[in-house]
Amino acid sequence: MDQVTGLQRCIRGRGTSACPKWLALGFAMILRLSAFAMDGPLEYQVKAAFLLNFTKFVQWPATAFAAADSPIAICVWGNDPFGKVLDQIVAEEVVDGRRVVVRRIKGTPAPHTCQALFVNGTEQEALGSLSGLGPGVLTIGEGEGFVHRGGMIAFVVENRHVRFGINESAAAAAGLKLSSKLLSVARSVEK
Amino acid sequence: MRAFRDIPIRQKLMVITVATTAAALLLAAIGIVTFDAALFRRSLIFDLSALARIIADNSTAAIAFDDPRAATETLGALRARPHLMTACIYRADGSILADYERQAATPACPAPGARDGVQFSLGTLTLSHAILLSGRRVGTLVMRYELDEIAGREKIYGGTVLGVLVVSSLIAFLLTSRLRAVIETPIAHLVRATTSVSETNDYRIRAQKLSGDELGVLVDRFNEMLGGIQSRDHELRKALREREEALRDAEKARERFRFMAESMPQKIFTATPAGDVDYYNRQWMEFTGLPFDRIKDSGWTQLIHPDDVEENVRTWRHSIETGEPFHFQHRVRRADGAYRWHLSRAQAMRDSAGNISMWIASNTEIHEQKETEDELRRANEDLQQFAYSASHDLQEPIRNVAVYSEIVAKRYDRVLDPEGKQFLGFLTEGGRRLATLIDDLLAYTKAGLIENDSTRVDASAALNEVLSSLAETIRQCNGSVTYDALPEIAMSQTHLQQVFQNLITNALKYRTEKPPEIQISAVRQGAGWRFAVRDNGIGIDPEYKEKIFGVFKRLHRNYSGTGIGLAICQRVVERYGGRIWVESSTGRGATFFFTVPEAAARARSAAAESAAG
Repeated sequence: MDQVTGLQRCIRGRGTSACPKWLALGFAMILRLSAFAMDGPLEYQVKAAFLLNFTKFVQWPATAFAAADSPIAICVWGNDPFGKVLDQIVAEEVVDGRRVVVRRIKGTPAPHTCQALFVNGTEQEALGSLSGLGPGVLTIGEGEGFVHRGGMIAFVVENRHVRFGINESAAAAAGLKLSSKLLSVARSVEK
Repeated sequence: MRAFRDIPIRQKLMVITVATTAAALLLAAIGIVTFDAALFRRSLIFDLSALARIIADNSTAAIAFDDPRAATETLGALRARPHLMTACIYRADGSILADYERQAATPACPAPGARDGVQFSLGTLTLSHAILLSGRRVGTLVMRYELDEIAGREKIYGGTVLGVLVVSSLIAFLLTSRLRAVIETPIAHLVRATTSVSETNDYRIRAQKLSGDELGVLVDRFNEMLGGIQSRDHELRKALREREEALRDAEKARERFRFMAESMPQKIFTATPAGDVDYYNRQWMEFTGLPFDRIKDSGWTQLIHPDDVEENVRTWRHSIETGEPFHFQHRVRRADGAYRWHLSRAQAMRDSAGNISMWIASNTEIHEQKETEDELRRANEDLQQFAYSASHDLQEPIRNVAVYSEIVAKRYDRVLDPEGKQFLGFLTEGGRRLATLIDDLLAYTKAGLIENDSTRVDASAALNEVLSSLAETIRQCNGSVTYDALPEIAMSQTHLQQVFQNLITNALKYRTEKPPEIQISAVRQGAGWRFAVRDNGIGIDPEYKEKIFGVFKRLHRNYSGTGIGLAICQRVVERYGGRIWVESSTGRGATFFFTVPEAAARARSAAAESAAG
């Protein structure tokens, strides 16, 4: 198991002697990761990758988009912890036939503007506004409390690994369908 | 193979049946095992590929969210497959996210291959499958499968086939033991039949037909063949018997011929168709005093008189070449060196096809006859010469008698008394008759004298001359002579005139009250001619048909004549090889016929006549 988790340990910045090898092998092979590994905190680099991957396990209703070819927009509410990392990760990504874009917003977004909305843990005041988002928006936050407060996916850090919990009923209420595979890797699922 | 060829059919059948069964089963088994192995591999690949697809699909989230625990759980589903030894999920960068090991001892996951797909190596199958998420490769699933299963299956198949092989060979052996009688028994019968035929030469034996198949046909044909041989054997024996009889007959005939040839006083010999002498009888050896070997083939030529041998050989060759009978007179040397005249005749014996098979010849000694004949001819010639001279010499005194009788009659007519005149008349008449007689005798002897054989005469011219000399006589008796155009013939004019003269004179002389009518004609007969002189005279009694040709034979005293005329005719005609005869009856006239052969024919018949004599 040491070997398998080597990469994460490297990414997390608590590298052992195996770390330089993994950095050399893994990050040299994947430009995107090597790029943000240089300039952002590792935790948010992983979370940025997770944000993109969530879009691949969620099925949006057609009404969630302005048009058939509208991109999947990942919106960052308020304070942006990612910097350029998120933009780099989603660049040229196509999920389910749609491009993926990053939008940074203040205040409640207009309908069809965001398909996924990340709320920074420091932006707790925004939580009251979640109910006004309307259907078709996947909400992602930080801390276990986020899902109890009506959020759909909440990042948690467990044993120095980034994991997440899910509120399936909230997602269903918003007309979203979460893949069972996504559910299977979640640490906790609220129904 | 040689050994197999010589073993009995019974064992051959056994070997063939068992070998065929075993070979068929073995081939079928190999086919089934091979096919099964291929099929099993295919289905295994198909099966594992489907499994890999499912595992890969189920592990996308684990990779996407870098969750080894979830990935390990997914791999845990593989525990249901006992032969799947190892499975690993690699991240896109090649690091291992999760692995599965069936037993602790099994080797670790192999590195993901450069290519996806199936790879067989000794005893294992390695399958590499891409893990895709939204069309992007996020990792690789690698599984290793142990192929003990296939080996196990093949072992089971092999055992089964071996067992079936042994059992079915045993069954085939037992069945063949029972069924071989169907083939073996008819063959054994046939073999027994052939053996007894060849040992006893009894062709009445027949093989028994036990089946309707090829063996049955074989038996039928064999029996037909035996039938054929039997009848041929019968015919052969018959032919041999006939041949033996024929040989015996031939031997008997040969013995008979030998006995006859040996017991005859004549000399006998036989010759081959080519003319080589191959047999002389005892008389030949005794006569020549030489052994057979010295005179066989053409050894006889040494015995022939040097004057005769050339023509003898030529004549013999001619007969050999043409097949004509051989006929020759020659002198043959006797043991004491003296040459003796022989008449040799040879005749070709021909077979049914007409080819000469041999020559049979006889040699008759004619030495005595020949000498007698020569003496006779000499005596005859002397006599003829004498008669001619005598007649010739007699003419002179007779002429004197006649002349002086007439002189006395004229000069002393007055002196002589009637009685003297009468006596003188008798004398004159006697002298005249004597003169005629001598003329005729002279003519008769002349008729026998030999003249040139190649002389030819125009018969019409000869007849004309005769008729002109007789013109006065014909006129006096008011007679008529008619004749056809007559041919030219091989005869001297004198002789032909003698014949015509005598026959016409006779016809005029022996006439009735009617004026004489004479017809002369000639027709072809063979190579020569036949003349006919017909009259309407008194005719001749058939009783005298032969006698009238004798010298001095006269039928009618009241007609004048010397009785030599017809003898002259006969002598002349026979001198030329012809014949003269008369056909007549009293009061019906007479027809005299005579034949004149051609010169060549005459020569042959003359030779025959002298030989016969």
